[in-house]
Amino acid sequence: MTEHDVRADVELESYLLRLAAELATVPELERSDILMETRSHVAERIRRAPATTVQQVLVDLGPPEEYAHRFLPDASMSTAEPGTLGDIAALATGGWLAMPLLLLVMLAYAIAGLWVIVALIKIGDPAGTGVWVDRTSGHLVSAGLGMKANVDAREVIGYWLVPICLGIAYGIHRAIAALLRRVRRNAGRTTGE
Amino acid sequence: MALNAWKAQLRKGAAELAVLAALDHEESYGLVLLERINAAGGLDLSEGTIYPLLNRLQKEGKIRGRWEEDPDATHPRKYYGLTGEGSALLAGMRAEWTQFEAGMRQLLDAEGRHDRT
Repeated sequence: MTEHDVRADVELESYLLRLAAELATVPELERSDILMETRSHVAERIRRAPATTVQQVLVDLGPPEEYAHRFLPDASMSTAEPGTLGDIAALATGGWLAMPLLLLVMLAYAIAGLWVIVALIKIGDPAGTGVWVDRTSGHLVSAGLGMKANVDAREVIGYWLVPICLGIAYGIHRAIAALLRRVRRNAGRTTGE
Repeated sequence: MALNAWKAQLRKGAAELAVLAALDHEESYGLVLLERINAAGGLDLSEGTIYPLLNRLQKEGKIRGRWEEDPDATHPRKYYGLTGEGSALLAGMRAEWTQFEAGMRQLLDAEGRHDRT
């Protein structure tokens, strides 16, 4: 291997490294396919015209950052910011389906918020918040907030109530996010055709 | 400058049709496809454009890709071919294009006659 070959090799590898870094958000399999095809393209150009340098081929492809950008989904395709907040913002200004969906989303987040409040109250008033069962029969006596301790009942959840409530709230958030993603995908398909 | 921007838009819209048409009935890899399209003239696709376009068409299910180790090459080549969906799309695009071309031709010829009289 001549010094020239080594330099060309370093140039190609550094280009591919920068390309890979820019494609970090692309799924692994697709990214390795793009890198392999770029490598194959450089080899093919040089095989056809051996006087061509690696550097020339890379210049023709464009700077790795710019080239990588062309593989990413077209930014102009979705105007909304990615994520739930962007979806909600898009809903507030959207079509006929937007209003009922927005109400549903607001209701769901209000319910999720209540569960977060329950968790906070449990921290602030641990003795008065929880689920009580009868000491002897094991039947549910009461559940709620700001309760007075009953001598015949014992509280069964304890501080587990906090992660349970937060988990329910998070579950609602994930469900709404998934719903909005689906709505957005369907909207994209309709307008894309 | 206005002409260049318009040309860029026109080529961008036609590039997908060109790639699908070049893959009709025959599998091919990036560089050969590029040569075939540019040999036809008019489109002037660049190397930095064709691979991202192929990538997108594959993700959309219009073409499929497979790696092949040809004896004459030092590296595996990625060969592309049309899927059923791609073939159907090409047929539709071909019909649209023919209609579009005829309409524009008629319009431009009529304009030409006006200019002369």
